[in-house]
Amino acid sequence: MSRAPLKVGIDLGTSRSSISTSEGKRHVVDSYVGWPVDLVARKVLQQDVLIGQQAIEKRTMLDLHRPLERGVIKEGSEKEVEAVRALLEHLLSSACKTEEGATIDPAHIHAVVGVPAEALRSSKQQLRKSMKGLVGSLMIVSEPFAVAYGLEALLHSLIIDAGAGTVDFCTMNGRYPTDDDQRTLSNAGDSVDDVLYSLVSERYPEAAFSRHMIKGWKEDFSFIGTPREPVSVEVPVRGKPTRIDITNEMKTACETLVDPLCDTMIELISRVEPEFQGLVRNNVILAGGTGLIRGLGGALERTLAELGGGRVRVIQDPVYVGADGGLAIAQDASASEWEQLGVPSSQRLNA
Amino acid sequence: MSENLPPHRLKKTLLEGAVTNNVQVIHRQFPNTKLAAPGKRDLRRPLLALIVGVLFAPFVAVAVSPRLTEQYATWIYWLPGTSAIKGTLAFGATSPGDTGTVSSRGDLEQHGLQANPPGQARTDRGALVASTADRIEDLSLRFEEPTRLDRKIFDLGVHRVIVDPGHGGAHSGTSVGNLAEKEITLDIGLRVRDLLEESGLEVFMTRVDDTTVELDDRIAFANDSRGDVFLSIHVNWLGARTVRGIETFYLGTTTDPEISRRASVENRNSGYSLTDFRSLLDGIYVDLRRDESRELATQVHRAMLGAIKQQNPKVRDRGVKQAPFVVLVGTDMPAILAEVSAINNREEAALLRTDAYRATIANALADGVVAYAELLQPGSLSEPAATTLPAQLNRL
Repeated sequence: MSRAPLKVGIDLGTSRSSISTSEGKRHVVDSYVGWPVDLVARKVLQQDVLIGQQAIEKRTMLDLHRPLERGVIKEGSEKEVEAVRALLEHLLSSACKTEEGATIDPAHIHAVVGVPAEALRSSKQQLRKSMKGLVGSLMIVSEPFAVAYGLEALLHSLIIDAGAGTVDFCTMNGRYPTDDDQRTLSNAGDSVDDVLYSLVSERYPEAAFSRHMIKGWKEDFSFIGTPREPVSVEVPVRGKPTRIDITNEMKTACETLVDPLCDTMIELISRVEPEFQGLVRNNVILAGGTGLIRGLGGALERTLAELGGGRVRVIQDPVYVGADGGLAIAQDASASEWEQLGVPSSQRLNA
Repeated sequence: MSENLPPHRLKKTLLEGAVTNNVQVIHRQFPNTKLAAPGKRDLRRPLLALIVGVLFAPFVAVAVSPRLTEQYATWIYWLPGTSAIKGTLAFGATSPGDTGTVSSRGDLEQHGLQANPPGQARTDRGALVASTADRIEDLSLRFEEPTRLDRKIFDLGVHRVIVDPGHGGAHSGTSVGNLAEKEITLDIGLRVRDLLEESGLEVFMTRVDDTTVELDDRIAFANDSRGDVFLSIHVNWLGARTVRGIETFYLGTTTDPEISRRASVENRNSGYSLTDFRSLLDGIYVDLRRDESRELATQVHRAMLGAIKQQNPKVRDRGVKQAPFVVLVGTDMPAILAEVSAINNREEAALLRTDAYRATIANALADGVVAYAELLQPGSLSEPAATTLPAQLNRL
């Protein structure tokens, strides 16, 4: 029996990837993919591939990949392409099921996928190739555009989508964003992790911790400006659980974002037609996980104050904002606006 | 205008833009470019075709010399509406009897194209080209993207560093009073040389005194010397006296008119225009060298920021950026251009007059290069860990 197309929005992120469907289903997963390193690991894990948190937890037995560098397919390795495909398969198979739990024919899935604003064409092509066989129709858009569309901030707004791999800026002027309207910075959540890792390693050389722990601390305690309370975390030091203070390190690491973000924000606003700059200053939207660093919105507002004042709205639930925006685009797009990927109707997603 | 559009019309307009963008990506055109105003022609594609045509002309001339005039007519035919790549292929596809194009014909036929359909009259060139265009369009969609190389495949390391002190001789660069960029970059460059040599690296300088060295000579020197990395040292002029900061560039395109302007100044007399670079680089410059250049730029920038902030706490981090500076375009190895300070800022100019500040910058630049070298081959240098990023950041 023929069914109406299932519309989906997908936000492929360096840290997390999410999907929203027109049937109201949502799913989010950490952007990690792992394959058992050998037969023993395969026998223990009883799975060919592990995705997300499960992969992180079992990483000692896995060839672990984080394939979405800067939000697009990390190039140079077929394994990374395979990992992206596994991630997409996981997202689609998790969210695209009938009420009876059966998987949906990929030919009936129409997907809008968000990628960083200044993603290279080759990366978009890699993504397009990865999507083949998984969905029937595809549209790729810039992530901040998807966010703006979902929030209906289409005119006189500035979207700052601060993720793990990139911070994407996009002014919305009532037309599809051009180069002039967009910027991408590589100083993002991951670079904060790098700095924090270095600083804590230097101060506590005997403390043992991983990058995953650093990422967790940042998500729990990150701040800019004055700390609400000292930041202390527990780590093993020569095997003994020990509490260490990382307040200053956290502050220093997080504040490395402020200057580049403020400079780029000012630069983009200054490009807007003069009579609309005030409107844009008062309609700055800070989205993405890195946008949740406490005090970042305030730091941007202080910079806007130097230009005559402005308002920054921080999206408090950034997990699905990109995917929801993609879904909104998918639902508005007419049949002729999709790229047909030509999925054989017999092909089914892996459950 | 957009302000007057009802929401549903505005959304429709935006969706159409998204679709156009996707179509451009599929057809390997330039996505996200600013839409031309009604009535204006986008001159970029014909310009790019012209540039590529000029670049390839000598090779094409060798291949099709017996029919050069006629083939050129075909080329010209292609310019207005088709891409440069199609134009190049068309040479092979429309010269059936030409032994000079056998390999092109073979390649085309291998991909399911006929070099010239039997019975196709040469005078029916429009139909022939259009027909071939359709099939080349099909072919282009079947081309596999080139697979990026993983540098780990090769045991690559850094052994030889090219240090390029900006300007010199007749080219003073930017200056304030008697403080000139060419003198600062040379002093810092020589210090960097000494530090890197202490770390066990071989260093070649593009200049060691106040002489004029043109950009193309610097590039040729770097390539002939077979350097593993290229570090160009410059001092910024950022306009207002209150503006300051450091920034590090690696090769790539930019949409920032200010960076374009500055690249244009640095690239003066190079023989190209920025428009040409932008178009060319957009299409062709996606390779491992840029990834490595970005990594090198990141290491150097972090080291600079960490070290310089100690003496100059107000310094602004202007980031790691892409820009089409000629020395980055022409060199064969990972290459960066570091703007180590802003001489327009009164406080930074005062600092630049001091030995201590120059030594700090030189140390940081050397630390960044060493950190990058260590990243490629851990333990390969004599004094690695103590001079790399963590130590610098710890002093913040």
